[in-house]
Amino acid sequence: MQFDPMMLARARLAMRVGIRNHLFDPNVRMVSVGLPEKGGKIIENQLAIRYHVVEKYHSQIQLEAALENGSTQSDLRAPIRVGQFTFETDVVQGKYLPHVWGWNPWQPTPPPNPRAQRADPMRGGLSISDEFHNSYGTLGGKVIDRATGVEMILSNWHVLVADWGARAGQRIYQPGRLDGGRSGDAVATLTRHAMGANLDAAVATLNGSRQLLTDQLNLNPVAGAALAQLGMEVTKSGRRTDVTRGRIVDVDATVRMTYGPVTKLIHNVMSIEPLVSFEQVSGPGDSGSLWIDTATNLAVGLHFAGSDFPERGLAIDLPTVLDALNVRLAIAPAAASARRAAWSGIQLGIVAPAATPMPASQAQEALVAR
Amino acid sequence: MSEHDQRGRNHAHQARAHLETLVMSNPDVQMVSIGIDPERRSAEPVLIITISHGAPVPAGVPNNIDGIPVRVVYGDYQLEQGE
Repeated sequence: MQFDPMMLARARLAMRVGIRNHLFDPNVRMVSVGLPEKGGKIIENQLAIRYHVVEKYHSQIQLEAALENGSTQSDLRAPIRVGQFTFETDVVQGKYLPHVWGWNPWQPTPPPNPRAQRADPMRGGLSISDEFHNSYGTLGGKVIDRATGVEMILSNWHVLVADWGARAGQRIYQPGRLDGGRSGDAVATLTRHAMGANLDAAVATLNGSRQLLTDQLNLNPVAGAALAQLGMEVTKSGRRTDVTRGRIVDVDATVRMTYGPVTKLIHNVMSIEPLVSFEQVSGPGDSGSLWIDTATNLAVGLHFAGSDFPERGLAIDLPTVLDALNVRLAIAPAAASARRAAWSGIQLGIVAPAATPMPASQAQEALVAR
Repeated sequence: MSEHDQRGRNHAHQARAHLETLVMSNPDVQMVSIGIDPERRSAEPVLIITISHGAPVPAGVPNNIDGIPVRVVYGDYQLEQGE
């Protein structure tokens, strides 16, 4: 049986939704795309999202009992929608074990994800969170307070502040709490945010316990900040999806986002699509990453949201963020001299002006976190 | 950037702001932007309205604003913190 490639791709997207929603359910061992089974027969011309469970509940009473005692967390039978397409779900019983002969204590364990580890020195692309929420986002980069010269961390409001009642001074952990960060991992304190200017961005002042470098994990050093342009190819280093590449396909957007009980319009937004169809540009945990022009290494956006269908990332125009927070991007001396050379090339017409260096602008009034 | 390009960009920004006032009060509208034409019918940037999956196309969406085509696409944007 051959399926249309587009339908298979949609099914994979639906499976990703299923994985995100249910793979951490203690009863679920695997999520797959497959042919559904109805009444003991395989339906040949249909695709379904299949949940492989330790125990299948055959009645509503069994399911409710399992929900109550914590054996499972949700009803897996709800269909999954991807755009205009709906995929039925199928629950099958199957407990899978590794096919190894006995336990080999010398077998190498997979290396831990460096983005989720405590890092010293720190750099952009690492896990970070506030002290109260069991979550993680991404440390975007190092910025300098334009008024005082103090070194700070740049990330999102919903990563560093994350609560409408938060106060300046709350501690920031690296790694983030969901990656095991504890009070001993506090590296900064929340200083101010820009949500008052409809920008999901905030800064926290480093407490001196660890050094923060100006580069990004697995990427070249950032050379400065610039305005985004339609068609620009960009890359980011994020906690969840590592280094990904994309292309800017929307600019100057206003987007409606929900932050707990409050819906906000976020301004100065760009959207990024994958360079290659069906590749991922971002995922939950990448919030706070910097999107960087691949041609110039100038940072153009602060990532904060995304969509699975279509696969897109959303970022806020970085020069606007820096102005609103009254900070400048910290860059290494080598990157600064490279940027000067690139800029003189642009002025001489040698290098195509893929990005416009950030215009000098008046700093807006700093917004102090409540 | 030439003066002509700058005029074109300002024109697009004004048209996008106008479109935002027309449609952003509709809760199904997630985003209003200037973008690359998703239908590849126009070589120039177009105005794009992103609405939630399954939502009806908002009533009264013009075909163009000040000569700039308007397109409607679907999306489902969420904050991306790990939880």
